[in-house]
Amino acid sequence: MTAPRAAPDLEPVIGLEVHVQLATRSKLFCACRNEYGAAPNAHVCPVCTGQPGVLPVLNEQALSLGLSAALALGCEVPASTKFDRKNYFYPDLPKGYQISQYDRPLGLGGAVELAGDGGATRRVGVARVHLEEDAGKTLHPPGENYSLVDLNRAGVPLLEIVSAPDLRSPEEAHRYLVALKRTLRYARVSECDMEKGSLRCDANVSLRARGSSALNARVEIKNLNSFRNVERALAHDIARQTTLLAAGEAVLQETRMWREEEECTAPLRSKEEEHDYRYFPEPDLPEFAIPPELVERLRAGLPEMPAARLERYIGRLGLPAETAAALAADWEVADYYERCLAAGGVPARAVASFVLGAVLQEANARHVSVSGVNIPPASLAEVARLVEAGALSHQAARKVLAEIAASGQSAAQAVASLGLEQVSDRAQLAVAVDAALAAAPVAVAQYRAGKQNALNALVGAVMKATRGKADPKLARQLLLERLGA
Amino acid sequence: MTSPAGAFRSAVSIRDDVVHGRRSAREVIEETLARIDRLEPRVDAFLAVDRAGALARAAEIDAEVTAGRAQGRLLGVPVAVKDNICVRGLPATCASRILAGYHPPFSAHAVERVLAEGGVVIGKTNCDEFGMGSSTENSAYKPTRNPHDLERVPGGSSGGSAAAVAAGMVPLSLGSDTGGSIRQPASLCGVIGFKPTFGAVSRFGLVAFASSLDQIGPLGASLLDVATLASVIAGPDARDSTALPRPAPDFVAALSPSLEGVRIGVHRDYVEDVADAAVRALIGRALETLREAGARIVHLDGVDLLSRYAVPAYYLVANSEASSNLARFDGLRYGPGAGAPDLLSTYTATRGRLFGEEVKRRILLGTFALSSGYHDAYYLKALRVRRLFIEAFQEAFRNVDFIAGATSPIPAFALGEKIDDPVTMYQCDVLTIPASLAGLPAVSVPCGRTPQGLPVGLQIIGPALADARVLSCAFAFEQRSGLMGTLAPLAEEVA
Amino acid sequence: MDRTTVDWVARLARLEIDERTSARLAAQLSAILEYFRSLEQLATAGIAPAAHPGDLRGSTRPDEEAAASAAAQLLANVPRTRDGFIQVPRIIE
Ligand SMILES: [Zn+2]
Repeated sequence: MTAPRAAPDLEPVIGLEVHVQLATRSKLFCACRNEYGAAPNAHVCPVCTGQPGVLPVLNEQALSLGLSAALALGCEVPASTKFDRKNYFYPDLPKGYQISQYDRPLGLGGAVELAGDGGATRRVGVARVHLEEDAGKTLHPPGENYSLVDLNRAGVPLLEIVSAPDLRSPEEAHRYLVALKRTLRYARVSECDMEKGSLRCDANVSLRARGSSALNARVEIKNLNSFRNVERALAHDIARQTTLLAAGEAVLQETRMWREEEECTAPLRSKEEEHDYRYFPEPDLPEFAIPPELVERLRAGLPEMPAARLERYIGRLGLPAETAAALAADWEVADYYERCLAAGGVPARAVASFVLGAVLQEANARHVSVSGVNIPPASLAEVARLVEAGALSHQAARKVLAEIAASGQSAAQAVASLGLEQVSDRAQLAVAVDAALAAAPVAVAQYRAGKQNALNALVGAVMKATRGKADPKLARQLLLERLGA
Repeated sequence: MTSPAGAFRSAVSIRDDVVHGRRSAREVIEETLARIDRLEPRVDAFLAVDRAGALARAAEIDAEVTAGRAQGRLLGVPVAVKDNICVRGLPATCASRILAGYHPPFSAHAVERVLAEGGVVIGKTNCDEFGMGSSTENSAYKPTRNPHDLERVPGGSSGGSAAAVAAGMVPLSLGSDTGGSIRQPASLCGVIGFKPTFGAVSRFGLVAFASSLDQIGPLGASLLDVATLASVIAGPDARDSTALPRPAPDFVAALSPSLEGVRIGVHRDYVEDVADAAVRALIGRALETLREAGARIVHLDGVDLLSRYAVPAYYLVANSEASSNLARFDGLRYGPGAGAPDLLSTYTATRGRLFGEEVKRRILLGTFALSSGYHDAYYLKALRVRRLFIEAFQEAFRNVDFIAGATSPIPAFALGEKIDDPVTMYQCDVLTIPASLAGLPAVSVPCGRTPQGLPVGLQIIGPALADARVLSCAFAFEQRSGLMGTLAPLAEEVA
Repeated sequence: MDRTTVDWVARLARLEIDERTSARLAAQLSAILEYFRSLEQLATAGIAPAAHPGDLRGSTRPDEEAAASAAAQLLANVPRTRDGFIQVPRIIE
């Protein structure tokens, strides 16, 4: 092997293997509950603990979700599929083999589109998508001579999504993960929550001379528990490999662990790596036909994907690109937004600002997703309508939404209970206007001297005095009248 | 109909007596336990006898009979179950030390069906460890003896199930057949053993040896009994994805003594080329009997049934699957385990010390056949050869309804005779393996005894899903053979 | 199959095998594999491997949870448990 001379001549070649847990009620091959966070070994049965004599039976919803994901990623879906055994010994693998898919996965040859600079998109290939069962969890209590196994996770349906080695930088890997997660969440196949382990990622990286197709040894990096760590670990290992190659040394083909505390990758003990998985067709499961009708039904059932939505929000609804992107970033937000619009008679932009403002704030404050926020889309639409009609100020609208979320009242009830019906009565408002003028002689003088901004300060004072209930347009009009404009 | 020998009590007659209150289930079970007490020390057919459980169940049945609610095709019938088939509440060791003390928390589908029809599980029978063997000498606990000659093997791996029937301890037993493990011991013990079409009986609760070959099936001393038990256990089961989806036909209703118009294929591999002269002679006579019953004998010598490739193809497929199926036995979740300081040595010590030699040999062979570099040459090659077997049988069954010939090329051999020579031992299965590779229904039915008094079985193989016709053909043979209900001479001593 | 191969396969299969047994198994497995070479005489190019004997089609089950099953009974068979976990010798990562 000839060692490349200098770093600038090298480019990284990165591929990602992503595992997502499918959002089913029960496990892949048994009827145990698929649930995160239960007491250890609460959701186990003879099948997922690998008792002698039991057999796997495929969960049809897991198959459907896997196929939906494959379709959402633009994969070719075959007319039939089969399962294979991957054989290895580990205490979290009760049968001594994992039921997976080897040569006939659910999907082949898809892609994820990454939005690039200036509207250009970049296609990152998805080599394959396959279904397999998750392993259990092992704990290693510090200082003890034992490990502990919890099999609740054993048998949970997993979808493995293998990218083509198309990624060229850690930053691009990060963007791929964001886009992939978005698509999978849109397709409703998985929560994709890295903290709960429902999305996990391994990375492969090797370096090659720019323009060459000859790769140096490939390094696999495991234990990547956040998108940020994927990016950091890749950057670290690319630097490490570059240094080695620059010094004329070889990169070892190996598996490395990301060590978050030390911020570096370190090799796994090589003894554990002596693997020969001895894949062979799972004899307990015959081939599964994938009828064209099923594929068509699943395809028809897929929601509009993020890219298409983004385009529609900009083109048809006239939203600013940034707003549209923020809405389309997550299916729950986008769906919520569209349900507000569906209530009818509300301006797209105004609703967008409420969704991205008040609703997301509410969600973040309560640590829930948008679907967990207690503001019915119809109520939000009603509030937007009141604002549009001039019956509610923006400021008051925020309070109303917070009240709806807290109390479960309707929009009208919340407005009433907060006493926020807008003051549009000239005589009533005139009192506040006069008081504001009297209290701010400096602003009055500034305005008279030609400083238009001073008027805004006066409107603000009126709003403050009426605790936001004043109709700002009327207040402005009255102020102008008083100032003799 | 020939009258059965003295010690024989058919399951069908026991059931009729119990249903009509002529005998209580308790009497039946007590008599069964008494026979086991007398015979078991000489035969060693059982690994566990569930005395208390069987008597308790008999009491339940008697209460039902008294209440006039009794029903079931096996009401009060004692049934012995091979130890690799799970029965809730009883141990399931698969005759292995690695499962010593293991109590499965569920029953096999076949066992559930037996219990639902009023059957009484009397105990668990000895076998070759995990079904791996042809003599039952590979049991980690003890060898079982052939009731016809206690110095000889009963065959295997369902040797305990065959011997228990041959000795008249039970009228029916359940066995499992991967490459002949029901038919070969049935042949060597002079009883009937039936391997259904792959998928006809759910494998749920059968501890897997080779998943694509394993089938549960009945053993008994009369075709009517065997067909009854086969009817009870066959049928769909949502817990086994390889179980056939359609309900099984009533095998008993399909039994007919007539073979008029039936074409029986005869191939030299199963007749003229059979190793043992006495076996050859008895099979020749049996074919003559079939002809006398109205069957037309059709020579299939133009078809290559590939029998000489059966043993290699089978042992590669079966052991590859077995190497994976037996990976779960690691001592971490069940079984005794071998205490060792670290994880790797816990695995290797548990498996190295608690698996028997034949099991280890097969795991090594299967692991090797699947390993990278050898996978295509061994495992995949064997799967392709398996396809050729399937096609060869399909070709043969275009012209005949059944293929008939020997079940085993030799009668029962002496204990210890072949145990140190795996290749010779594997040859015992050469005539039962082909139907297993192709997933076909096949039955072994007694056709006489050699001059030494050793039983010989006639094997009848049918096309896939022809289970009812295979049993009916064997029934017609049994009607003419005069051997229905013939037990080992030893059984008569305790009559 | 030589001793080295037997030892390698035994490691893959997690089987402790002493030297004497290893030598005996090497001889036996060599004889068995030699016998199995007869398959080479059969031309199988273009023949589809038959992983199952018949033309079975897989069937699925609905995504339904079964009533909590015998978790306690399963744990009762586990040689060593701790706080509801299965205890195993220390796994070195
Ligand atoms: Zn389960």
